Amino acid sequence: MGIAAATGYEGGVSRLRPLARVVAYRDCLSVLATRCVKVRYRRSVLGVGWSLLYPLTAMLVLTAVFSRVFTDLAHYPLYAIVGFLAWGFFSLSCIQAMDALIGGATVMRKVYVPAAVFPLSAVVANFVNLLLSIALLPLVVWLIGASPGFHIGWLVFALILLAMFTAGLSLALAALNLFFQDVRYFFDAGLLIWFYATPIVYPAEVIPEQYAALVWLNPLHWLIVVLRAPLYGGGAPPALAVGAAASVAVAALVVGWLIFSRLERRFHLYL
Amino acid sequence: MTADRGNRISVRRLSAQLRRERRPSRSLREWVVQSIGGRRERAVLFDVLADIDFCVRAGELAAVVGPNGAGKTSLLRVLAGIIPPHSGRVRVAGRIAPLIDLGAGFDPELTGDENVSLYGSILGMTRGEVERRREEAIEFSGLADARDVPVKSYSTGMVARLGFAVATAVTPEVLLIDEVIAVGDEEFRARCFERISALRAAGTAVVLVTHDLPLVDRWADSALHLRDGCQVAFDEARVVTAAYRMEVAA
Repeated sequence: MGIAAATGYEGGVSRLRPLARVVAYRDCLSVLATRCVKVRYRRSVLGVGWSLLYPLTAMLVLTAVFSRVFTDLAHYPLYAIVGFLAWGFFSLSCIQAMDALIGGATVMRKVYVPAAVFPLSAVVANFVNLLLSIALLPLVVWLIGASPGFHIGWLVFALILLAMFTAGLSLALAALNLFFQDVRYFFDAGLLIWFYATPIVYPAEVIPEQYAALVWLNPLHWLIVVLRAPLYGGGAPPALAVGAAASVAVAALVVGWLIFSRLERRFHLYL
Repeated sequence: MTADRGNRISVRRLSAQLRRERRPSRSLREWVVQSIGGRRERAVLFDVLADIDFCVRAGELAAVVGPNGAGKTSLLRVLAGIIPPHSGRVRVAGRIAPLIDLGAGFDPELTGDENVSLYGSILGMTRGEVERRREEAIEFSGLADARDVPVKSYSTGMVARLGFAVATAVTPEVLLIDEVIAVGDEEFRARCFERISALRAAGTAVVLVTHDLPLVDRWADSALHLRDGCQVAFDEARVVTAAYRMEVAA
């Protein structure tokens, strides 16, 4: 004879812990992510080619503008494109995650769905795009005649860290944005500053000594350093960067999830 | 446990709260300014449901009646797990199919076929479950010719048909219906009730929100009458509708 709780809701997936609910809805997550990709490219002639055209165009522009500036950087286009892809994944995921949760509100009013699947679907969709773009990198390498180091193990490691960091930040931002509608605009503005403060289109060495701390404290810098190593540099990233990147990735994911699952309890008031 | 045996839905002293103001959300700027000034505005909550008690056994159909704004849809949302109880206890056993708005979660840009996958997954079905029931759902909705057409070109009735077909494709233990059947034509309504009868025979408990009292008399076992979020009556369907008719006439 089980004594049920005197208050509360028992039903559906409520017996599961919040994280297990998201896992139970993994098929929903993947359908939503597929939709993100499909709807985006459906009506364009190039189709999925768009996702590849974007980094290529960025590379051409960056090369045209900066390769004369940073002449001491070997194969500048490859250096810039790797950072650019990481940045694109990160920033688009965060922005689309906020929109996805707002967009999911109409669904969450009518059907119980673990709210996290909406922002996470945006992250997954952008991650697929990132993988497609990285698969295209050999073309870039061939175009510029580079012969960079490549290491699949470190690449996978770097991508996982980047995805963890992005997922954590996306969750936190999406939840906050549901309560405060201007979070998105603050973040948009912040992104612009963040982009230029991160060594993406320029090497870290050009930052003056007195601002070095800014780079040190920038989590994305470490994540990009770790990603660049297997694609552009020698293969293994510096130990310091690995440690820093792994710490910020884990911290962002844990804190992001805690913020999200905490705020989720009040979502129904704001849907 | 003994009191709840056979109950698919059991609700004890349920109260639920929502926000009074319907402003979508505040701005971070405002919040920071208020926090600094020490006068942070708290969300004003009110009881959208208070002290609700009822239960529905397997195979039963319970109707929820009452004027607009009585909390009928909110009750369905509590049963679906969308609004948590503020106090009291709600137990819903088994898989829930919430038909609070048919096609909530449909993407107008996607085709009917793709929306079957999308809606099915939003309802918590696995990919395999959706695939096994896909043809049956398309067939039931009578939209075989339109399955490859984006849903934005569907009529409201077509969306409702597809939504109902998907939501009831996997036999749910609990079916929550909010007026939605009203949008279909006569033939579709008949098919819906045929399907609902089949589900009830298989043990599905149904909660139906409706203003259609003759329908309640004909189909419902019990009825819950709500007014301003409070329970006026929960009894045998005909008893409740008779009292409700008297009240409306008075």
